[in-house]
Amino acid sequence: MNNQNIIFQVTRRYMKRNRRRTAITFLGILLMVMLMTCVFVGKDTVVDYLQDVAALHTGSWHLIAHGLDTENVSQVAAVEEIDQIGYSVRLGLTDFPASANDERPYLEVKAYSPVSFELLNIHVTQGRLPTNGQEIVITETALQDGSSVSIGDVIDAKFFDRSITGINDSLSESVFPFYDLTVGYGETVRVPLDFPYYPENGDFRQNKEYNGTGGRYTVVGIIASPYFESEGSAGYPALTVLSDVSEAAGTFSAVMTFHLDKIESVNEVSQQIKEITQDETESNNTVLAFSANGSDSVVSGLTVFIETFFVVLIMAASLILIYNVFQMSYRERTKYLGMLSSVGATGRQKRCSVYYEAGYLLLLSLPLGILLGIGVIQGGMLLLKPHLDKMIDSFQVGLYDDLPVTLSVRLSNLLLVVGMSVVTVMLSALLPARKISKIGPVESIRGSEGRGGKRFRTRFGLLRKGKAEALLAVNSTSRCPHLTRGIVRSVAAFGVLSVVTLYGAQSVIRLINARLETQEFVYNFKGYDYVLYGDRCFEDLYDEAKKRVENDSAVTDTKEITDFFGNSQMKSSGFSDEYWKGYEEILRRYVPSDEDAVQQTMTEARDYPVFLHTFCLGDEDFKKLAAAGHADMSIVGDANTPSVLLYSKVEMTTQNLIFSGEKPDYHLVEVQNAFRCEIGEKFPLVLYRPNDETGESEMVDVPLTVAGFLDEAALAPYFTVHSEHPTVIINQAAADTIMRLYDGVSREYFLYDKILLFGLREEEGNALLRELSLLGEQNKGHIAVRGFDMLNMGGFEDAIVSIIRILAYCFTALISAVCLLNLYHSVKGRAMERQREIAMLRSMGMTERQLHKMLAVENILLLVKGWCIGVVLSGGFILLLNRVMVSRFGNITLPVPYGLIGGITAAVCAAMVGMTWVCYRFSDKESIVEDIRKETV
Amino acid sequence: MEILRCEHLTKTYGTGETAVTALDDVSFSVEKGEFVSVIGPSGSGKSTLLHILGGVDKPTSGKVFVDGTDMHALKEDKLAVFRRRQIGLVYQFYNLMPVLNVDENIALPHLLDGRALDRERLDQIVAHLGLSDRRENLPHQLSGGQQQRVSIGRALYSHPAILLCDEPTGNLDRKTGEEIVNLLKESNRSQKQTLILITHDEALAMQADRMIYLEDGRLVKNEVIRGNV
Repeated sequence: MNNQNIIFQVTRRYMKRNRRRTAITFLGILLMVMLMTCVFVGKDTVVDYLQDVAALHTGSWHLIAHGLDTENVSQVAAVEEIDQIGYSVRLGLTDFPASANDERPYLEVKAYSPVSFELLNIHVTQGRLPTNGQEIVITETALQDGSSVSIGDVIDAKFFDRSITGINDSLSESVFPFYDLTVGYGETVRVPLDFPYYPENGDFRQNKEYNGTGGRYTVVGIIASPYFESEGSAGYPALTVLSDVSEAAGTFSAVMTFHLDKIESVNEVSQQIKEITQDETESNNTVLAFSANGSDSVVSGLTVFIETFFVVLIMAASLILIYNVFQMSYRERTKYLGMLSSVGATGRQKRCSVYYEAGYLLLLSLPLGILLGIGVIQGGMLLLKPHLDKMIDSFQVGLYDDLPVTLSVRLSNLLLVVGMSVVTVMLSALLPARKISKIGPVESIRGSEGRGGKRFRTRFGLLRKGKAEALLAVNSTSRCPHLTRGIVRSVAAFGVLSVVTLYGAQSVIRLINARLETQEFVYNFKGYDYVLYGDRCFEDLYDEAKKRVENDSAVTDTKEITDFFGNSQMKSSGFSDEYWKGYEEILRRYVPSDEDAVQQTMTEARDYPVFLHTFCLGDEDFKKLAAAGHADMSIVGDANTPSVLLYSKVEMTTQNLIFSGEKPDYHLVEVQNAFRCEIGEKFPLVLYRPNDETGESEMVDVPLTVAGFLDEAALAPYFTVHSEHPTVIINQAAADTIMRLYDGVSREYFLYDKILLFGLREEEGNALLRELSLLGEQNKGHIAVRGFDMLNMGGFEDAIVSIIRILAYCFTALISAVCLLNLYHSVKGRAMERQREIAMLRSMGMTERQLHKMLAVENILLLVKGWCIGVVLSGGFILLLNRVMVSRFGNITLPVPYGLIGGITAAVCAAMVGMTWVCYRFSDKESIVEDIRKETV
Repeated sequence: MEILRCEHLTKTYGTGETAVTALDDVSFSVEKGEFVSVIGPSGSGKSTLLHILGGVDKPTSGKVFVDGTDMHALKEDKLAVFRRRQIGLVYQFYNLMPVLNVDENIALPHLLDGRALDRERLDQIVAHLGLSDRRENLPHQLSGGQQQRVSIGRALYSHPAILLCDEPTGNLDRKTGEEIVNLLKESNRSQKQTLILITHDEALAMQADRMIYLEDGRLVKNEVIRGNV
């Protein structure tokens, strides 16, 4: 037996003898390995799942290249990085006599190769997919609009493209800003695919330009609306088969996926393909974003940031946990290592003993921890899956089948877990090992290391007052650092990690929310179940339905919201300097080095009024809002004076403010105070009122008085707003004034919307719902009733954001659990080491009450220490995170969650009290004599 | 005047076949101011007897009366209060609070009773114990003899009715042990402090007024050495 072996043998025996301590250390390492596995396997599993969810919406393709000729097809197919590739060709528009929608009288026919059907996730809801070029499938939207088309029908197609010609000689040009289209008198221009159907009017005429091709197609199936379908376009998508790309004519599009694990950057490959086709490419960012490969550098950056953020936090939590566990048993360990030292063990051998124990336990923990981690992810995903499915389903992104969650366990990740676990454990053992190796044998055995001849002043203040509990508490927290540091560290770690994780999670969610531009308005109204929508051109019908709702006994509450967005605008003079500064900041992102363009655009912008979200919620809510905000109640109280409350915050981004120039990276500017006016002043609201006789619009000033300002908190019970347009709330008198100004104006030009929210008693209200539904059907959908949730249904992006939110909070809960365990270990360790001390106190006559009092004072002192450290560190980390996120992802305000910090502080306090109660229970149960005889942990 | 009386004390550990009787029907009494030594071989039940007399352990059967109070009939909290007022315990391994310095350790039982510090008495005791230059040291910074002196000071500070010492010199060298015994004897003489001392050192036991001999948990001899009580 060599000398190293004897050290290891003794270490093993001590580990066996001190089973409890060994078990705690083992548990700590096991948990760390489990958590690391959770992070890496969890990340891949979640990313793969999110990619699958994203693929449900858009399909699983990564890139679409447009404008390929037959030569380009073979060149693109030769690109090594491509995994799968499919082709499509647009055949053109054809008349669709079976359409029941006057605004969509055509079919937009495309031919797809089989791979394209798969990559674009074309899903049949009736019948089957086409198998040859004579078969066709049509979108289900056509049927939903009332089309009589059915499987087996034959469609004779003569393909054409559309163009428009300006025919009004009094108009120099007609502008279609949303389609980037301008047509002058006598001019003919080709219109884009999503251009709506316009029958001939006085300004321009639509032309059909037949291309001489066509065919006879048999309808074999109905497909779910493909992601690219635009409901405003004139044609319904219809797909047939592209059998052989080499024999087909026309310009092709290629849809493809890449070997993501083999390429460094999707953008580079895209560029390579773009050079071949010399045309535009389209990236599937929703799918690529989760693997940080999206063309949007900000979203990709965010993905990498989220991964790194959580891995670093888990590692930090684990490091502190294991370090604490090692430190906890430090004193006991020094005793036996001191004994070894006294018989000749060197410092190196003592260090080896600590490393041996760490390595031994790590070896046992690794397989078990990895298996546990995989189990936790599997279990967690199974638990979460029904919620995720429900959410995806509710956002109607088309969960066609039960989307399975597949565990993504990659060998490279497991090796990373092993590597990081070894590093973490060895780092945690490093400091105790170094310290132990430096302590002499006598100091080790006596446990008096580090104290030297230091004197500890008598606390006569406490002695004179007879405060034994306080004296003991103060001294035990200040004079016994090896026992208290662990707790202080745990409290601080709990606070810092929980606060930073929550802050990070919230900020990331906020950034993603802002970035994906989910909902401009979220309706936060409580107590309403349904929404009645009305077509403004059929106001009488809406009023009739509204009356029925209001008079129904099953209705619990109603609220009408009128939105004048389409008409109300604000003179540019009403905006603050901060608003224009923000505007200019976004503008400069587009033209960073063109000062003339900036100045010119700014001058032009200041000449035109800006659209305004103008809501009327009724006088009762107007007063409530005014009271919650900062308002002059004398103005608010005067119901006859048209007045307005201003929500000053505006969010301008490079996505919602578009200028000519190179599309910049995402940037956001939050303007906190968009308005220049003061309370009591006139608000510069203007309306564009068309004159039916002259056909011209005239600008009319609306005399409103500024009653006050609203902040996010005041508006929160009603709306959450993320808009580049300012939002104002007007009283009923102001709404009536606007309505009066539009007297006699056709409703086609008076762009306001009314909705009626109402609460309904279940079952009793079914008759009303049936009645309203029937009324809607009888009147071609000019009124409709929907569930309240529909108001806040933003679509696919919301589903993704919601899933990310759930996962972020799961990670936060996981990290909090580690911190909690860490705290428990520290409290338990201290309690175990103090078992004898407590017994001594009890032998001297300390009562239970005094013991509890002492522990309570100790807890307060330790919590205050930990909290102070936690606040300083959290503040620093939050500041750092804020700087990084703001500089990298946009100028967004990321509020510090003070409420959550308070909650976490309360949780830590409650945890300490609970844990102290649990960990010190031994003093009630075992006899004093037995406790006094105990010497070690 | 009788200060302590124990009647038919029995203490059994475990049950059934594994049951071990540490004390077997032990009865005796101690007069106020008496110095009694309890002697016996290892495992004879000396420490068990001392713990039961000190109220830190409970007898399986039997009673202990201290100044007329049936100690083990008291509820836990009342027993704790009784202990800190009436009993002073000195252990072989000192059992000092590691986080308190000399002054604080000595004053602790007094403080636990909610009474304010008697600085004069503290100074006297510290000086008497020869610890004046170590007042601000923690137990780990003291020698074994010094720690035992602190332990005695702590037991004496609040004038307990009985001072119970469990092998107070067992962990000390002979010279230091003698110093400790002298301290205890002096306290017994000058302050009429009732003293019960457990030891297996017969020479030390012989310095007491009376010697009780335990063997296998039974009281086999209760012998008066000096008849001055």
